[in-house]
Amino acid sequence: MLRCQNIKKCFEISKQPFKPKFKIEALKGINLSISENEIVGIVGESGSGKSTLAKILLLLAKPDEGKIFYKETEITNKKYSELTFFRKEVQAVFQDPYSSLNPRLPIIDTLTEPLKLYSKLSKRDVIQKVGEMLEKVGLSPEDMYKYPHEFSGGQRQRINIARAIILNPTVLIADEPVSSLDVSIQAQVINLFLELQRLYKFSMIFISHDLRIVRHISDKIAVMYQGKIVEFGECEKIFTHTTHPYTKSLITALPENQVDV
Amino acid sequence: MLDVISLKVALFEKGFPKKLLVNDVNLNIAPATIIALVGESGSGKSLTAYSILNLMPSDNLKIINGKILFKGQNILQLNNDQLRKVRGAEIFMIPQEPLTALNPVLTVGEQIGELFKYHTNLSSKEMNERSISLLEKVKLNNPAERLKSYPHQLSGGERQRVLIAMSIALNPSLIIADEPTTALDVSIQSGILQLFSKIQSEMGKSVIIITHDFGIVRKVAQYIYVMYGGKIVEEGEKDELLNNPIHPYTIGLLKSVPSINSIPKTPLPMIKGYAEKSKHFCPFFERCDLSDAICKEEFQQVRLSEKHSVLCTKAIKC
Repeated sequence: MLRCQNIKKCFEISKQPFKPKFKIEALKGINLSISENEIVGIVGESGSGKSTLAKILLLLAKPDEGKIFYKETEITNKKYSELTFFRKEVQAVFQDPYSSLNPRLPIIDTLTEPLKLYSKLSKRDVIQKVGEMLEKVGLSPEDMYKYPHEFSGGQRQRINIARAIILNPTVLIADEPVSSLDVSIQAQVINLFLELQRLYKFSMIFISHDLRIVRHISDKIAVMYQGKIVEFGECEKIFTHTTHPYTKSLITALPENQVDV
Repeated sequence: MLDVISLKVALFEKGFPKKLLVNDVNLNIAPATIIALVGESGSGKSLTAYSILNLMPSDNLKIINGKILFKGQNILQLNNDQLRKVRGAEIFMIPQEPLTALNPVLTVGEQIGELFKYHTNLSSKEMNERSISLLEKVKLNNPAERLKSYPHQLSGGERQRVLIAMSIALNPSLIIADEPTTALDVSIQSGILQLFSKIQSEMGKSVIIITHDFGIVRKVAQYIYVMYGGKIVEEGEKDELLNNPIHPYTIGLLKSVPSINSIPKTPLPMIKGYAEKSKHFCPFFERCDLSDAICKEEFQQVRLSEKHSVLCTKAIKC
């Protein structure tokens, strides 16, 4: 479905003004592929490059090197106008539910925007579709006339999810979608992701720093460390046949495996 | 050592109390123990901590009832001069974000020195030596060099270590840490938690850790208070409470985190609804699976044992 080959990305950073810049290699040759109806989880610490990878896979940032294939066509060097199909079929949910919704638009406007751009539904159908979508994500259709500030973090994340799946995408990239939510709400959102995936059968890349959540939701897991994927494989195998020391340290850091300090 | 007795904090609007954010909270903190205050955002846990230092983040928030007895004196009745002597020297608060808690235009050395300047009569040379030994205690590399760095040159974990160094600088008997590891990576978290354990076991200080993460609680705490909607809904010794939780909220919280032994792709047990102000007597009424007509009218503090009590009418039948 979506595949990337040898992706590299550097950032130039100046630590002090007027001093020469130096390069940070954020991604050092990433190969990752995701098939249809599959959930791939990516775990790693902050700074390991997982969000950069998400941005590159969404073509929101350009890789320095490497190629991205979508349905076996290369899309890395396509023009903006040639990417409309990609933009429609690959959707994203971001970490911060507060900054990812426009505070000035009522929910209905936020949710109809993708439909206006990519579908030819009539106005009445659009409103009906928005209502249906809100019900699917566990909100009520009357909520569509409210503004983002009237919702809590968990509810906003539901709206973000509704916006992402309203066009029936083939791939959904979720970058830390639950980490800014309260524990009791996290479970609700994880359940929602699982339920919607079962219903719509989209492929999903689920990024998180919490190994337990990734294990729960994914078919395959990629462990990222300092810009590389150090381990990739079936969910259970990662736990039973751990090869990389970093993955081992992640597993031992889990509270279940911890003895009191 | 510290007793918080029926503390009530209200949000005022136009001079009238509008909402009770902390409702009748009682805490009892013994010397040399680590206590965890667990709850979601908005449950009033940070506000309770700020009240202990009589530091209200906003003018609209006022303590309307209660006593905070620290070593026998009521903190709420002290004047500003007396309070200044308690803050920092007797009770130290490590605020929520290590990234913003330090002053970006002062070096680490200047910020630690400030504590000594206001609370002791040390010469600047002694201050410097003390600061270096403090940074050594919290296991920062090259302490002498670190004193000259600015906060932005340190990583999140290092900044948190600097704050912990500041917290033990004046040898206070109580340290309050508000979400000390939330902004940090998992691998750095355990180092910070070990420091807190060391502060408690080797230096004999009490620590209140405010958190929403039961993983942290499991690692360091000895006694746990679970807060919901401004009330302590359950309290108890760590093992007792974690192995035998009674309140539906505590049970839900513990279960809703996927564990390493859970079956993948199955729906997680979850608490329904959102944290909203309850219209009824019990703050958890709307989200609770067990709630019925009795819960609307009353709830009871049920003491299950010396070390475990819960705020729920259903607890008796359980």
